Amino acid sequence: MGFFDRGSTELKKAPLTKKVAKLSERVVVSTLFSASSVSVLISAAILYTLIEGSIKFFNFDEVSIWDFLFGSEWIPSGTDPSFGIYPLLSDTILIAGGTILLAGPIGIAAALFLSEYAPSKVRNVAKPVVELLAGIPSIVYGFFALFTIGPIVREIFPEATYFNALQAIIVMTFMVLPIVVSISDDSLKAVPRHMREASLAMGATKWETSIKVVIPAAASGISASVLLGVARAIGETMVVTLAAGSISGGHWNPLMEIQPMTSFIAQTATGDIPPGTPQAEAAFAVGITLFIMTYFVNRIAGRVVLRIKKGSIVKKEPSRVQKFIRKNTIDRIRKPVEITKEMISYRPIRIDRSIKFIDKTKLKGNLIRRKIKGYFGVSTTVLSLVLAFVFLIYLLVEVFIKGAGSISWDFLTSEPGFRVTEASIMPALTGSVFLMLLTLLFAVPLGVGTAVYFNEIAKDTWYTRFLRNVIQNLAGVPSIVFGLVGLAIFVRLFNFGPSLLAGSMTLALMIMPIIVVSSEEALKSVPQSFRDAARGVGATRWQTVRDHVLPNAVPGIITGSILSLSRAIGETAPILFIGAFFAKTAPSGVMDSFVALPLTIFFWSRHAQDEYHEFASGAILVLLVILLIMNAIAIFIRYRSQKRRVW
Amino acid sequence: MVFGFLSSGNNKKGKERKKLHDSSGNNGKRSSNDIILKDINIFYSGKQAIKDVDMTIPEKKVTAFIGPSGCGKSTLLRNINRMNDEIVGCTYDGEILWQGTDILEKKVDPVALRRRIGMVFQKPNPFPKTIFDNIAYGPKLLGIRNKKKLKEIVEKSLRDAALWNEVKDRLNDSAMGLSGGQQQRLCIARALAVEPDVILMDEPCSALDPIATAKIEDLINELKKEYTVVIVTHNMQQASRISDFTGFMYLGELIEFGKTRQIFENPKEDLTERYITGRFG
Repeated sequence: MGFFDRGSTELKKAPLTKKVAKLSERVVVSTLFSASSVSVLISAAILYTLIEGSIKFFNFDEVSIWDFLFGSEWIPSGTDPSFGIYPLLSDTILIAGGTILLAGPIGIAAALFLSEYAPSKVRNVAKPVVELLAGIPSIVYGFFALFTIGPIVREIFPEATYFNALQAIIVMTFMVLPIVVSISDDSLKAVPRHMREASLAMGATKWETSIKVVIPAAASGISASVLLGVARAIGETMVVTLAAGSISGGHWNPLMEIQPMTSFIAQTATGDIPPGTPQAEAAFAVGITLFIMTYFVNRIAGRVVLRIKKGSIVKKEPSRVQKFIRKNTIDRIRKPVEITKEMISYRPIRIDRSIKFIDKTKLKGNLIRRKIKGYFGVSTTVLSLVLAFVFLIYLLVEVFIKGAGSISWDFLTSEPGFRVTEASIMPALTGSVFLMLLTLLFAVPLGVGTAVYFNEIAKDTWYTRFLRNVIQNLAGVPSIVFGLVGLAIFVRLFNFGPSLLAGSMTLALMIMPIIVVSSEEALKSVPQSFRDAARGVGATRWQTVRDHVLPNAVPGIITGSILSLSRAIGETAPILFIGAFFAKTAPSGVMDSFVALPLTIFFWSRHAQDEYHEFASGAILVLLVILLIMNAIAIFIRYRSQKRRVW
Repeated sequence: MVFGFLSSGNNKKGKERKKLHDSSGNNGKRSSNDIILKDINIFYSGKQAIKDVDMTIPEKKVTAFIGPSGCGKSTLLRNINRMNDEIVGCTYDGEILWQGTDILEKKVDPVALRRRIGMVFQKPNPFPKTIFDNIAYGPKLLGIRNKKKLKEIVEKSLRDAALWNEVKDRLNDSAMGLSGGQQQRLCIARALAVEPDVILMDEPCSALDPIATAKIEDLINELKKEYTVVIVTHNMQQASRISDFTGFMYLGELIEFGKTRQIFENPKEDLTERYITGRFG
């Protein structure tokens, strides 16, 4: 026997023409393909829900499309109802506009500080803290707006009503801030260093460089961040429902009660509006308006963000349309520059330095002024960041002070009664846990399957590009719209009723796109060489994924899934139509009705008795602790896997 | 004489480095406009990038730094207008005397310094603005608001950088639309617009084709009549063509410094000779 024994083996004789891919391979791949295609079904469900509901609405005799679009009164109930979208629309614009007017400058300033001035230690702490603001559920913001910011606003503006737009705007500013900060920061960071150096090397101060060179170069990304903030503000439901009131305004007065579109939709879920009336179906028509608005804002912003990711923010290749327009307008008017011989045969002229333009005597005073400007500027950016911190700490401290008193063993575990002393979050707590587990069951396989299909199996075809688009769009759909979809599809069409099953499926629809994105990140972090090595020894696509890619991506996938579940557990709007507002016991089966923590917080916040507001703080405290634990687990997993990572 | 004894005791091979600087300066005449580097050490987060460099860069001449990649030429150049201040973790010691001041001292404001010691970078880096705004950027910062005056500055700077004829009809077009060579001359014009005395150039032609390179070299020849030019290049032919003085650097040390002719025709150091003749490594 030689050293290398190449004696007879079965493998050697296997014919090359035989397909290696077995049936199981094909089954797996087509399963993954189907998983990724579910997003199309979800989109179809959204469109079906909104269109079908709107058609029903417009079929009522009292309603006409013309009045809906151009009417100026929104009186959904009463003997002579009137459905003109204008007041809702103007209130939405007031809220979103007001929010971005504050969040835009503050966010951009904070991002400027983080990207240009903060030492890396400060940056590493400050950025996650700002992003923490994004992890707090909107119901908590709503509560804070109503019970903490509200009194302050009424103190300063005595003419402000109990519910008013301003308190919602203030709180939503900080809600939207993380979006503006993190995307602006990314695009500022993407400005190449040589651009800054060019400016500094000419004797510009750092502040001048930031304002006159870095920000203009990052302008497209910054505007995208602002647009995404606008989209988020337009779609925000719980803050406005809790704090801004329920009378549609159209008066453009931030100190008075208003009702944006989202708030109206939420109202149909909570008020006692008889089903089958135009008032109930109006939610779908408003929903489609909201959907279209956010769709377009997100679309525009998404394109810009994509361009930043590809790293071409500075040099813009004009689009085909732009080129066409240019060719037929500007270039026709302006003669092209003719390259003359004189231009090519070139000799620099004699440089004469005796001609001076700069008055050297004024330079010193000028420089002092420029420096002072810079100090002021940088201070503003620091202040913006500090403002975000102060808000976050204030919110947490308030919730803790108000809520800690109501936490007791009974509050957490006993069966609630109808008396004030008998309040308990046991049903909500268990409901939330069940809801989360079921959501996990539906969303994670779908999301991870889609991500694997995209990243490992799919080729770049029109269909996969289409799917990606669909998923990107899904991620921008306002949560209250998912609420409508859950109602129309799961509760009514599938006849699940207002059950845990319907609630968790609705939440799963909402977080699926987030899981896809985070799982894809995890898969992308596995080096291509692993795949090449596996494929090189004859593994099939799926075998490669199963044995080499997935095991290495699992920590990242788990981290992403936990984070998106923590998002789901804090959501109120999607299950507003489905959850019960009062339940005495924990749900016992998937078809049972349920109540969840955010719903309980919402319900108690609107209660007339002050005691319940404290219970709401207690429930918020519990919810925040759960979120904290989930985030801690996610961070721990990420940390451990990064430590163990050997490549 | 300040030159002869500047070199510190960094004589590993016992070679006579002390005489390195005898040939520099305007034929031995010293001027306060010369840039005198004394014992420069530069560190990147504790790692030494430049070791005990001494040299005198004479006024209104072209001085070239040559040497293999990573030898610290650019690092040294960037210290002359304190651009290294902008790099986190970069520290330095030593003195750079210019016009009677140690410009490395804390009290010297790098912002004021950089107006007088301008810089042109390896990759042409115009701002994504119009040609006009690129040039007017510096003067505007210095408080010049008068439109007519700005126009005059832009024209003069572009003429001095030999770009005027090519762009005079499209001053309001984006600078990004220019060719690489034009962009680099734009960057030179931009540096000239704030009326500096010294121009530092960090491999200004490395991203350009031969024709564009020739134009920049012609321009440098013209510039040196009025400005002190310090240029980093990895291209030895270029150094020999355009520079009056040459410093050869290796692993963060200045191995040899002298008149370009002497360095290329009669190097004193073995290392220099091997590098110049291509028998390196």
